[in-house]
Amino acid sequence: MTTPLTKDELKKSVDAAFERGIPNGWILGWEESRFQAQINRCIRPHTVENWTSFDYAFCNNYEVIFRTNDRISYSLTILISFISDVYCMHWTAYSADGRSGRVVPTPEIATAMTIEKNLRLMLDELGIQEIPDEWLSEPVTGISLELSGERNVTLAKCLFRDYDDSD
Amino acid sequence: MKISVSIKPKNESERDHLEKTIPDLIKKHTLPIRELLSDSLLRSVHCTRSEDFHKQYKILDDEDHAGLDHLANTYTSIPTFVGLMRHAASAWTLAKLKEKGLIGTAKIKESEPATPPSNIEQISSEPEEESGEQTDESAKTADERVIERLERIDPVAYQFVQEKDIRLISRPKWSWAFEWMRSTFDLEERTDSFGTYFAFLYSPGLSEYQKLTYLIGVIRRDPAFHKWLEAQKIDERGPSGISPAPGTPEYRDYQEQLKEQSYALMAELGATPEEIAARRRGEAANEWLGQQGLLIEVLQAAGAARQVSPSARRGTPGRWAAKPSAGPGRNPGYVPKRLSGRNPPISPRQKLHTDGTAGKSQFKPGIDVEGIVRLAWEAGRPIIDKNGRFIGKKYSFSAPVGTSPSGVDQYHVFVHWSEKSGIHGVPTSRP
Repeated sequence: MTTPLTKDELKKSVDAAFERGIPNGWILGWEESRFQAQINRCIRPHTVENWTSFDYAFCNNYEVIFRTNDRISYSLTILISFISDVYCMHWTAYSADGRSGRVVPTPEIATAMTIEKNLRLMLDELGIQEIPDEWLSEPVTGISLELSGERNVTLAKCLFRDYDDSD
Repeated sequence: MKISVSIKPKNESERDHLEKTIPDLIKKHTLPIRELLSDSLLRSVHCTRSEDFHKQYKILDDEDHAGLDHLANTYTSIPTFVGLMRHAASAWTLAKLKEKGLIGTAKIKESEPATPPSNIEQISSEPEEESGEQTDESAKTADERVIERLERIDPVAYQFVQEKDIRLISRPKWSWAFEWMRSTFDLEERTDSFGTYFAFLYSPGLSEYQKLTYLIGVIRRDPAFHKWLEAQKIDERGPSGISPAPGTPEYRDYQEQLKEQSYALMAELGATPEEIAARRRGEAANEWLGQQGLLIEVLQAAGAARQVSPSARRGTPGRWAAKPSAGPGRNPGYVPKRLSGRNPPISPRQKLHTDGTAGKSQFKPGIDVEGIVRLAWEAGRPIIDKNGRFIGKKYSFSAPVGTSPSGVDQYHVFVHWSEKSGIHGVPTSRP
């Protein structure tokens, strides 16, 4: 029953949320463990790690770690925005010592596909929409973030987490 | 706030009927909150859209400061306010479904179970706030309420306010300076017949919530406040947001309550009684070990990383301070070099997480912050965004290193990286 958000609508909601400055989830009382119980139900027998923090971030941040026998571990990151009803999900593969990693497509682990599907279904039922990859780098003007400043501000930084990638 | 309605039609004709009826009844973003607010339950608040909480707040802020303040003052907690809204919205949805004869086939799902607040009666018995211009008397009462909330939320800042005689004073609307200075908030020294006092000047129209957050921000950024802290020998952790202040009996109860909630969650997730007992023992040991336990862990981990942190290694003033040089800003046209990831400097932003800045997670007092941040940078796990950009590193400790503005102990450090200013660590996330 919900209509998918268009990119323009999403940008408008970002503008509205930042209209009076950078929203601070700590002060606004955002819920740190929002949807954690639902996510846990979707990923059993694994458990989710809650990495949510509202210092420079505007989302719930959950991670599920999958350890494999071939000295690589995979991490599924789920970010659910407080700015608009959108989320993004991605996999990162880490070396055995955890000192290096890279973003990868869904790994061929027995439960990975099922867990990803369950999470998408659950979030969809809650009316939260997955943001298309190509929108993440969409530039946003007129907003100044704490770490990025006024340059290099993107939809991803305004919806999920801010970081400094100044050239 | 998010409500979805899941309906299982019995047959084709019922499905057709529902498909026509439901979209008119409940549409995303058009849930008529204003209508349910006409109920005595929430009569002093106006809101036009449901959407997420942040927008609700903004709309409330635009339209009716008094309404939000009234609720926030009554409940002291924004999450409780959201719970109340959620409950009211559920009730409204149910009533509408009943009206349409759909009750029995519909099931309401909420992102969180709706529990009616226990003190609804308290709200409904409150008189409605007068609309229109505030009188001097009501403005005075509002300021007093701000000070009362300050006492609850940030007792140290409250003590400072009392000692320095800081008074909340609205800028006059006719003042030519008002428009120019409306975005600045400062303490102004003044004198009256009783002596010297400080005026905290705020723009007319600010909500109590805004006054409170600005007041805390101004006080905690004021060097005089930090000098006063030193003079008073007060060693404190900063404001605790909406939770009780650290060190108070309420704070200990709050921490215990959080722990019990986490054990209940563990049980719900299928943890065995032995696992829960082990967790209880671990937390008790952590409390006992405190900073000593953390120190041991830091030193061990630093050894494992084959590089002891500079602050732990030198023992005497180190090389960062040994060769002072002229700042790059003296040379016009100077383009700052990109910093190397090896031994980068600690960014000035690090101070925001040690000086009690409101709305920022704080490292616990007495911790070697630079050592911890360098360790987390050297031994931490890289975090990469979906688009492949490196955004920082995470490292976990078994003892708490920081406290969130909501008053929760934090066991992890996220290190942000900047090619221009270096690294800064932020204590982050729950155990």
